[in-house]
Amino acid sequence: MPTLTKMRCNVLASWPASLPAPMKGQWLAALCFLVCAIPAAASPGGQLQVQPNDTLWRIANDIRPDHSISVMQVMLAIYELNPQAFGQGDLNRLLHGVTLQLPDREHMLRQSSQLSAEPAEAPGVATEPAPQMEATLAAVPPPLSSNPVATAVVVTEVSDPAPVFWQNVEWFSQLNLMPRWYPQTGLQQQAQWHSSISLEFEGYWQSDDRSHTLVFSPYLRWDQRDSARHLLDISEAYWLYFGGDWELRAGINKVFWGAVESQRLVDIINQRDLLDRPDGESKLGQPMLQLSLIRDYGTVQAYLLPYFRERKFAGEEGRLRLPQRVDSSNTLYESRHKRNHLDWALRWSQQFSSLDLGLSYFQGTAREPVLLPTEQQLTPYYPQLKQLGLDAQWILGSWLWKTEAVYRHTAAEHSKALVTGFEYTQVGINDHFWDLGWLLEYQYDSRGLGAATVAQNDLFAGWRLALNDAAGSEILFGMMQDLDRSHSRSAYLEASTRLGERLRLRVDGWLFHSRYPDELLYWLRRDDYIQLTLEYYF
Amino acid sequence: MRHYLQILLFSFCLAVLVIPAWADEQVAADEGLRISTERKARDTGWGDTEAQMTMVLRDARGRESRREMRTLTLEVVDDGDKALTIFDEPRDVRGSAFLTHTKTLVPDEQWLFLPAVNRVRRIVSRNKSGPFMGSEFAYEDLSSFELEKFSFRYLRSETLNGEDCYVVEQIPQDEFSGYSRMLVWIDKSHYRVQQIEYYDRRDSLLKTLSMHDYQLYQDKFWRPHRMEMVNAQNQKSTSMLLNEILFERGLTNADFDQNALQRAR
Repeated sequence: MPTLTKMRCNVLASWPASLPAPMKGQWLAALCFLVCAIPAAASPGGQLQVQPNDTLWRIANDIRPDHSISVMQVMLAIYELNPQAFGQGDLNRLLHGVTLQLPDREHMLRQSSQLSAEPAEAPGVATEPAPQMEATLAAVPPPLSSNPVATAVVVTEVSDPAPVFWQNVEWFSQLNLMPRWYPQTGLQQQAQWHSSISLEFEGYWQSDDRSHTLVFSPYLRWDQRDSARHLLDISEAYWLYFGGDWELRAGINKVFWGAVESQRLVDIINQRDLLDRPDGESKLGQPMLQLSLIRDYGTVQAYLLPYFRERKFAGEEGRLRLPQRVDSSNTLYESRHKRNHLDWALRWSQQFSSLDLGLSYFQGTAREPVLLPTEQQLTPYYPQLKQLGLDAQWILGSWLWKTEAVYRHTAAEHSKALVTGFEYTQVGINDHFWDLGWLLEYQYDSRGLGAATVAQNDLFAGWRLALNDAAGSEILFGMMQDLDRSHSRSAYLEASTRLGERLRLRVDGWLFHSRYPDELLYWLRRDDYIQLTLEYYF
Repeated sequence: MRHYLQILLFSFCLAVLVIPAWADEQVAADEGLRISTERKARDTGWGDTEAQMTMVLRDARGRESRREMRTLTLEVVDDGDKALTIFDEPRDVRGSAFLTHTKTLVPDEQWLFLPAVNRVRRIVSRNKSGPFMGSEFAYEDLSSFELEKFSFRYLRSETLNGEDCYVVEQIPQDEFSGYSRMLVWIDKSHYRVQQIEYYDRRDSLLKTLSMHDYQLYQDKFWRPHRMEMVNAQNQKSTSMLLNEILFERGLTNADFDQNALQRAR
């Protein structure tokens, strides 16, 4: 499946791997100073009154003289000049109506030099304000394990006097044991064995006429080493009403949009649980109100998303992480409503015989944070995002052509991204009933190498083998190669088979290879792993 | 001149030999179509059904594994029928659902819903010859019987299971079918299918399906409560047991679209 592991992290931009770690901070400071000094067009400092709709990010972005200065630098400079303009000294709380003294270019630059002048010992120190730092999208590395989602059939037998409702609730449970082994110790000397356990329940009820459905599904995860991977989540808890040609869902749910295999571009409703799986296939439950109209002209779905789920990052002891710690306690938002900003989305989808088409629009808090270097750590910053998405699948005999494309807009940048390719299936190969699928996809992102993109010009190739046996055995192998950088690639394997009626065994593995310190993959280079998952259904 | 005579003579001989054969062929085709049309007609007008089924898979050594599922079906008058199958067991696939829109003239459309990722995946139509849930049933064996999908030839009459039957050869028109032909035994009393032999692309016998325990519903519609599919090449077999079937459940097209696939559990 997809690959979020390919993202570059500009936080670490341009550190030559050859330099000894303690040197890096100073080297970087010098470099940044040089880079920043070249385009010297001083902008005069002025004044500006904060309007009700203004955010610090937006103002900083507006007055930023050029791209050699990051938005963060401008923000810090504004903050330094106008401490009185922020409620309780919180960078997040720009007061409305106040008049800001705007910093000049030198002042902005000083922010960077001051910061990066700090002694940077470990590779961690995210001091460096490399050019275009605002593009520091870093979708986090991810760790762990198996497939949540549960199942098993046990009808609860409640005592007789109980109401009929309870008698009709079905309960299913799933327990996963997930030992994971890394052949090498981590960059920060983390251990090689990281095992975890997860437990998922599901309660399900449907009315006799099938118009009302209730689902409740809590999820629990415990990790042997990394407390950041502990999770108690409600992955689903919703009421669904089906009215013939319309549906209403209220509560916590998971939504999937998309078509391609190697990446998730349009799929944006839910926050990803990258600590569970590095590929982003795992998600956190999202509170929502969803209305679907099922009409001849297609299905139209409207979503109101009243609460935002932050992305979770691996802790000190965790693997698959950046060298710096991500400080989620000081998360920054562009919106002053922070995680209570009301996001919304619309999607239209239609099926034209052999073509499935979807158009979507999302407006609200970006699911993927920008990681801002502050002090010794990284602070997640969630800008406001508008995203227009297209997904399409076209069937032609044994060929399944797939495309996803998005146009994204934040205050800091506009960007486009595309994934397109095919899956060709050979049925009944080898005189068996085996099916072999060949996958090839091209990934493009307009943010390019310089910015912190995910797979800006990459090729994905994969093979899916379905044995079609009674055990439902499947193997999927995929690899991503950067077309601009020969030494940047990753590969994964997913295999599973059923053992008896209640057990399923999975094997998942990842390989990461990179020689370029400005991409995330580089920091995962010692995090190749293999994981067994034993799923028990009861 | 002599040359032309030769050709004329040759053509005449050919015609004498071929025309009766061709005429016989036409008669057999007409009769095959008549029988199959009657078979379809006898099973028209049932509207919609909801069934609960168990599949028992047996490998060559006799080891068994079970599948529990529910199937909703909707009769579509001018086109192929629609079916939605929801899996209850084995438990690792519980909640997975499989939707088929059988088509008469174009390839069937099929989708699979995977609850683990909340994702509806479209299945390429070529997959139709693949095994259904690891059983000896192929996907195409489970799609509704549509006249347009085959050409027919009546072969003979013979007695099977005490029933006087027509034996009709069916040749799939779809190039993606896993079969070169099928032999279908249809009883003369009610035009019910009693047995089907499937021949693979090399024309050797692949498997045999037999129907048992027919029961009459709505005074009109016969449904077999047990189907046995035996693979002649690998000695595996699958029993499909119909535990319960209900008619007139009030299902509509809305119960058979991609949204329904995600609602089903």
